[in-house]
Amino acid sequence: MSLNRKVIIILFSTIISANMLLGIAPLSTNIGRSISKRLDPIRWTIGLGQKWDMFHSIPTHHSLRVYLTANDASGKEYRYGAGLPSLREISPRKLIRYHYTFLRLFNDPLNKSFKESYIESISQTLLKTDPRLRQFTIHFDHGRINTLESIRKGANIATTRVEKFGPYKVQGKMKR
Amino acid sequence: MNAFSLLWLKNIDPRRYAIARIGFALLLLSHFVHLFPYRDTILSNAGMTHSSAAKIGFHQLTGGTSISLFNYFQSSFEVTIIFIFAIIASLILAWGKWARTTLFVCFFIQLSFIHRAPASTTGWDSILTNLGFILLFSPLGKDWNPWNLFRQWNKKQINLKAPQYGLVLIQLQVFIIYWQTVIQKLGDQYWAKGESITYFLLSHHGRFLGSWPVAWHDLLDKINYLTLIIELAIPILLWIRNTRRLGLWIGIGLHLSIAILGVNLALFSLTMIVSYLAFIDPWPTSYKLRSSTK
Repeated sequence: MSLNRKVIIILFSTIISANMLLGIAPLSTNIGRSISKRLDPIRWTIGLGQKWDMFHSIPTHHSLRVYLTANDASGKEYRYGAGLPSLREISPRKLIRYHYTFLRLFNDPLNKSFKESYIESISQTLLKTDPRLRQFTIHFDHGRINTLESIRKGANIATTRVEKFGPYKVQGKMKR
Repeated sequence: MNAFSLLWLKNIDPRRYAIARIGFALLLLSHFVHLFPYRDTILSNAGMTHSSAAKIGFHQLTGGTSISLFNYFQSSFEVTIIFIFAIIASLILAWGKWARTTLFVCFFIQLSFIHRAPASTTGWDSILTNLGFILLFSPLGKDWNPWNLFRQWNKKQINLKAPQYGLVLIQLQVFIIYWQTVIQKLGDQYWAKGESITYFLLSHHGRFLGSWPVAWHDLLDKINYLTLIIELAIPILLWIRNTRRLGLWIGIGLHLSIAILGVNLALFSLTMIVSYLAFIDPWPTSYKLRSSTK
């Protein structure tokens, strides 16, 4: 092996391992946040993100159901699924990425542009599906797990909390 | 040569890279098949979000720049073609033909997915890009397709040699994944109180429905703390040759349990198990041979 190749390998390995080792500081600490702020733009652009928080925060959701209701000019209500492109019913339990997607879109302000884009896409699809529709609402039925103590005392596993987003206008292009 | 250089440059049997490449290619194949039903909804402009919003959203979330293929190929048809391409590329990668090119294709499609739909990603998506990036610049054992490897498995010495840096980097990544996750769990109230496994089994991730985990809480409380110890121990056990077999059994046991007791987590388990291939050394250099090459 040539000397140049050896130098390149050692440099490459040193840089990649330094990036990994810097990733061990948790984001909840000042040093972790500081490193993350500086390195994350490069890390995530080239695919070397170091965020290993799988299950550090335990899931407290028992179930999640997302669907839409839309009203025409007379106020009559129609129900649709939340899955695009065809407004089909989706099952976040069967397809777990929908669970993460909807929770992140509607619970994390950092995902605002994805949320706005989703609302716009829903609006346009509803207009194509039925031009009589005027407005729509996105419904979230979360099953939140009760405390272990209360389940022991006979409570249900989870309590369903109903959250509604909207109403939003059904239109071709949304005003932001 | 000093110890630091030797850590990266020490020559190993290139069949070890072939094992890692084949395992990683089959993992990518499973991953792209898993993503296939989602493709229209989360990656095309006919789906949930528009690519122009995704570019802005990716930057807001990570500070990075979106370089996704799906910013340019936006229709349902184009996204489907890209996925078919990814599935074919991962099969060719497993075989070892055009290994570097097919690995780049798979890596870039996976990176493009993360850049286009960061809100839909899971923990194993990042593991795949990290391992993919390392392998992209490592030897790939491309002289061995699965059939050749099988036929030459028992051959003691191979004339070709490859520097070990790629596998060492993957080993280090496995170490960081387990240790960072434990450090984060230590700051979480459910893990600190021993309730995490019980909540996990009651949650949307639990395969076996019902309130039975509450009745088993006393046992699950102990498993909670045992899990943390196991996650700290796995990389160390895998690193030390004498305890490697024990590390493999414990690690595979942990991840099989997650895959069996949880729904939708089989790919995460498979990803971690495949990463262990970087530790496996069926053809260790004998002490005598090592001494003679010094």
